[in-house]
Amino acid sequence: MEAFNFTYEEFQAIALSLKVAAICSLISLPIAIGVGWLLARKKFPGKWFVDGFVQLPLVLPPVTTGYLLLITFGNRGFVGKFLSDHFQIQISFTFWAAILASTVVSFPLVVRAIKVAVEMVDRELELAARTLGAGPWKVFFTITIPLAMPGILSGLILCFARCLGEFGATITFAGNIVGQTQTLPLAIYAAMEVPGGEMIAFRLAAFSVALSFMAMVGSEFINRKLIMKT
Amino acid sequence: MSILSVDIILKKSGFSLDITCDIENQITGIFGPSGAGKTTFLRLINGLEVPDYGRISIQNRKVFDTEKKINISPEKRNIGYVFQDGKLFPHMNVAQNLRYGVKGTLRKQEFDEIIDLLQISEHLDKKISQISGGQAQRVAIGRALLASPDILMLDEPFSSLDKNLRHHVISLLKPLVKKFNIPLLVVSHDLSDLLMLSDRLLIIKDGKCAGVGSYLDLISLGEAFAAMNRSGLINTVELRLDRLDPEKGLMLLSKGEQRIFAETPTAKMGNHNNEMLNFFLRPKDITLALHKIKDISIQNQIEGVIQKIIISENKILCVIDHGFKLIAEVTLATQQNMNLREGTRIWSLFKAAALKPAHTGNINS
Repeated sequence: MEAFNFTYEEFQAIALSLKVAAICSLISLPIAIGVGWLLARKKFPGKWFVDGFVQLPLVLPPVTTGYLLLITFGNRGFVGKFLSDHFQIQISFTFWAAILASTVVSFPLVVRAIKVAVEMVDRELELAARTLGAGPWKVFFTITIPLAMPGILSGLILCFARCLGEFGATITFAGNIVGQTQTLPLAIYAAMEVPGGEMIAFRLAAFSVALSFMAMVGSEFINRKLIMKT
Repeated sequence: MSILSVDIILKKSGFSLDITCDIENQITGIFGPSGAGKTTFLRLINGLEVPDYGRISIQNRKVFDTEKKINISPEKRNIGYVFQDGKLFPHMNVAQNLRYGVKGTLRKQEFDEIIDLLQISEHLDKKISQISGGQAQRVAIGRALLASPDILMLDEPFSSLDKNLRHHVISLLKPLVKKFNIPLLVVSHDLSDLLMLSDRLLIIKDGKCAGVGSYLDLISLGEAFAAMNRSGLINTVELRLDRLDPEKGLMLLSKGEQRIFAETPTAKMGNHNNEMLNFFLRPKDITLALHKIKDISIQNQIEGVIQKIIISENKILCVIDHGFKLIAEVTLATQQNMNLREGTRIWSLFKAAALKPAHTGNINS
């Protein structure tokens, strides 16, 4: 079992990956519920643009996404320059860059799942709640959200899993800094580059497979429980 | 007092609705063929759809007025609305559904009264998927009532139920409305269902009001008559049960002074004397005679006066007042041979078997 003795650096990469995925999911969720609901239920001018813009990272090569983030939030990018000039905040090549890269890349997956889930909620049930005296917010929280819950949760797990696998945008925008931005996939990549690192790469890859598998099984389990409840 | 006052216009592609009417009765049935705009009419009143032009007042409270730019949102109109298929919330159990619209604190006594009257008290903990169609419909009615609405509207509440169950739900509605003193609007394309609840009707045809008033008044209005005649005219009579006579296979009933016999149904019905029971009688099943006839197998012979004669194509409809009114259908030839006119004294004859009970026995589903 010596093969599975993780070093401190490897642990760091694993912990960082989980942390990034968790924070990214937490940030994505409320925004994705809002955007998903808007896209599913509302008509507004420029809806096609919002829809397309949100979905874009899904089809864009992650490296491109990372590059776009870099020229926007990098130290010479228009947002990055503003932040560093006025607030002394640097985003690129920090932990927060890893978060931002993962969030942008995984966001479309959550929005998509939530949008479909909200579209599946019977509009007439929401209207029935309105006739019973419930205002739009009460309807949203007591009817729409609970009924869309399976979709919301599977979107969330999909988002978590996508963050764990995120590579291209992260390495471009956040770099490969051990303990700061070196997540699991980056650590595997780094290990493969070093002569004699095959064992490390194998260990991390095996762990990565186990983690992703658990996420998928968990998602399926939650889905079944929720379906049985209704 | 006006319960509902409506003057609205809605134009959609391929459909337009233009209805002006005043409803003053406690229970009003809204009748019309499928696609006439009955459901749209209700949804315009409760705010789920918005008219292009007009005014709507509920119990003299204005909820919509294009001129004054009033459009109160559905949740503030305080209208109880029961959807065609109930629309119970699938992620809540029966009790949670019932409590959803309760304003302020739930009054235990009122809650208990409603669930008792609707006979749903033993299903409170069940999931929505575990209850039958009839139970779901009753839960939906209870849920709407518990939100303490100013008016209750039911959209085709019986269409998903079989005949027996339908009549059972209808028989529960009347006491409920009486007890809580709440105006009721019921939409149906089945005339006999509506007539069991009330003889006050609003007829909608092709998005227009073809008449408001009592059933027997409406049959003399051309448009309303045409709409009702298509689904078949029917008499509904509410009779008091005086006595069961199982040996002769008869029920002894009465209406005012008139004594009436009906067959004892096979299913259990009429548990106690003085119970009010609803019966249907087809206008075709009434025979008219100028004198009382002896030695005849027909059990019921009641005297009355022809109040109105309506000529429709090749047949004649007579509205006859026996202390209560019935419609009888005869041919043109009969009318001429017997010289039937308004004011003629006449005997209405119908077999005990022609009286069809509207609701048989206790139904537990």
